Amino acid sequence: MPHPAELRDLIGRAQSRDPIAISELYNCYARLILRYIYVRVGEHELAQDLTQEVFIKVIHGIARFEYRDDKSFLGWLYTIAANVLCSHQRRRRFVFTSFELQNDLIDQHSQDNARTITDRVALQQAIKQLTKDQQQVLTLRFFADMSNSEIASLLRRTEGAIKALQHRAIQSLQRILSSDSDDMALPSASGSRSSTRIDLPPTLRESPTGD
Amino acid sequence: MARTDITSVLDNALADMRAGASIDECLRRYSAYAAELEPMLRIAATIRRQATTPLSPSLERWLVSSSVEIEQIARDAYAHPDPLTTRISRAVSMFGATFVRRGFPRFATFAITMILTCGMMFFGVDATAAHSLPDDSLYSWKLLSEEARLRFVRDPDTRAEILISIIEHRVGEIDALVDLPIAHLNQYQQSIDGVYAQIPLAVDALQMASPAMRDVSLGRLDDLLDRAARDLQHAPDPLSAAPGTLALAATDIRRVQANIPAAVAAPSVSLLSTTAPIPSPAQATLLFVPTRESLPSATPVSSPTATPTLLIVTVPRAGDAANEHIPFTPSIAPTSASTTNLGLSTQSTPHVPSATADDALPPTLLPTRTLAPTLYLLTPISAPNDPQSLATATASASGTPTATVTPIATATLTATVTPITTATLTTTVTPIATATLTTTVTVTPTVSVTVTHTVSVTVTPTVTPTLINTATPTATPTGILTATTTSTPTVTLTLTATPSPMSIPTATSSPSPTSSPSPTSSPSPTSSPSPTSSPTATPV
Repeated sequence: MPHPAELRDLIGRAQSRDPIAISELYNCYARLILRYIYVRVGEHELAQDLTQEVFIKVIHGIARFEYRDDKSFLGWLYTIAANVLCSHQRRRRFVFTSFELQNDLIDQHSQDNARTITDRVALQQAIKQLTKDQQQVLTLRFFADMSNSEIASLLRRTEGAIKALQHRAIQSLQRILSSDSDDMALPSASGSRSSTRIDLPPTLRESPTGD
Repeated sequence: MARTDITSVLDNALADMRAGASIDECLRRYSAYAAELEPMLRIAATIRRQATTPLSPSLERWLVSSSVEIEQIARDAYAHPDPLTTRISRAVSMFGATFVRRGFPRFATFAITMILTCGMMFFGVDATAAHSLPDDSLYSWKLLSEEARLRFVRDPDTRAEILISIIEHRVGEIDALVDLPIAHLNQYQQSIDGVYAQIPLAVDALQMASPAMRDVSLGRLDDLLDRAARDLQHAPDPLSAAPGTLALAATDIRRVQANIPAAVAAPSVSLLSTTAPIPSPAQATLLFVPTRESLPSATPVSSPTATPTLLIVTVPRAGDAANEHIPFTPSIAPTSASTTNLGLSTQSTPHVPSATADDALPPTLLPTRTLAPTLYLLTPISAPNDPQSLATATASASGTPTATVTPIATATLTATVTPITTATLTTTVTPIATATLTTTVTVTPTVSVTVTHTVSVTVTPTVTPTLINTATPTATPTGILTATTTSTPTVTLTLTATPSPMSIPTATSSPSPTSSPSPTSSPSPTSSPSPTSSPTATPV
């Protein structure tokens, strides 16, 4: 991450239509955006395309950006990425993909371990069922690593509203993932009759430290 | 309450995890909420782990290679400057975004509140001002409001209607003043002046209005003036006013009222060019009002005659006979800012001035026409309690009439003082002419000035006639005119008369100062007008 002063200078140059500055901004932030999009779509090529689409929008929209601090620029980038994802989902008429189809979403090029893949797929499906505000708050909190006050400033809401949105988003995710786990557990339960009801996917329950 | 608590607890626990705490540590820290908190913290940990998971090597390689691609895309995008429309729309978009971001709702609320408040204040003040009377604080607002209404109207019918409405307001003010327990003379004067100021405009508007509107408005105007005259006739004498002052004003209004239909029917006839009967012996102030400026003709006029018109301004006094011993000093002076064209051509257009002391009479159409003293409208109402007014009753106006004289111009000054007694009137037309009238006189003057010039003349005389009461008074006006060969002559005449208490002379003074400027256009030729008539005065 560039120092705030450097970032300000970079943005100023980009707003002066300097292609080199755009390239430097890309080098600094493309990794974050690509990871976020990849978590959301789970496909390498699609994530790459959407990441490029995000930065093309940055190229054309940087002149309208008003710099306040480095987090504001990061929040702006993630907001563009979220909008690109929404547009992409509308274009593809994205159909809910159940866990039974999750293997189709596993990128053959990925070298992630099974637990990461399972987590990612579960989250992809669960996050899609959140409201747009909830998705945005989770993205900015966990992907952009922004505080409540920074999110509140970016979204022009109160910190209390951000806290409430965050709580409802995580609660919804818990409910969705529990429901999906039930669906997964039912066949095995009917098969062995020894399986018990679980509240979370196994991978989520195996992380005592949160890491 | 519990929901609010778990929200805050979750937020605090997430902050602890962000700082490095494990899930178990958080659960121990918030043990009261552990059961509810644990699944949410695990989900949060999963999301954070996904957000920090390193990208696969293939994606890392793509990032490196795509950097060049993005730079090329940017280079292509920035290669050509944006079209003007794009830049404008971008600027508007930025301004709009800034406006919205920086508190548009607050600004809009403030602006709407201010607009509504100002609107209500404006209409409130306007409604209050509509009932104001002369000398009230909002009276000026009322007049301005009426003026504004009039200014934006072009339709003759509507304009006539508004003018009649304004006259109705003035008459309504007179009506209200009559009902007041205490009303001052100047309040009446303002309303009466307002009526007189609007009548010429109303006549002009009615001339252009449709016949139906003209008939209706004429009837309405007649009713209004009748009402005003009636109110003034029966109004109690205001404070600081001579008895009968308002009755005299009512008489004047009646006279104007009688002339309005003819004025509307014949636009070229001056509304105010009626012969004014001079009141019985009264202190008088003669205001010399030269004709208004007219364009000099390009060719010499065969016999151009300028006919200045005397405004007779009388000071009505009850029991004038009893006041005959009071000397007074009438003055004759040109009105201010009036312009005299001594070389009247037939192209000049008569103008009906408003009946104010500062306005000039219209030039006559015919050069040889002599207007009789005409206006009654300038009737100063003097306050009897004012010692100065009692002693001298002097009303004077001075100014600088400007005249442009074509090759031959003739100025004829004729003053006729016709009392029963004989008086001697000596008029000296010098830069400052004086006249002393030792008795109260009845003055029926007609003063005209004929100046013959072969070049453009600027005349700056001051006339101070001296009227000496003798057994057989004669008036010997002597005029000295100073003429300069400029195209903007200035005439200043001052007549000061001091009546003696014993007799009421009538003098006829017909000075005919003739200026003869040198043909070489010397800047300050001096002319010595000779009187063309000798006034006679017959003692009572």
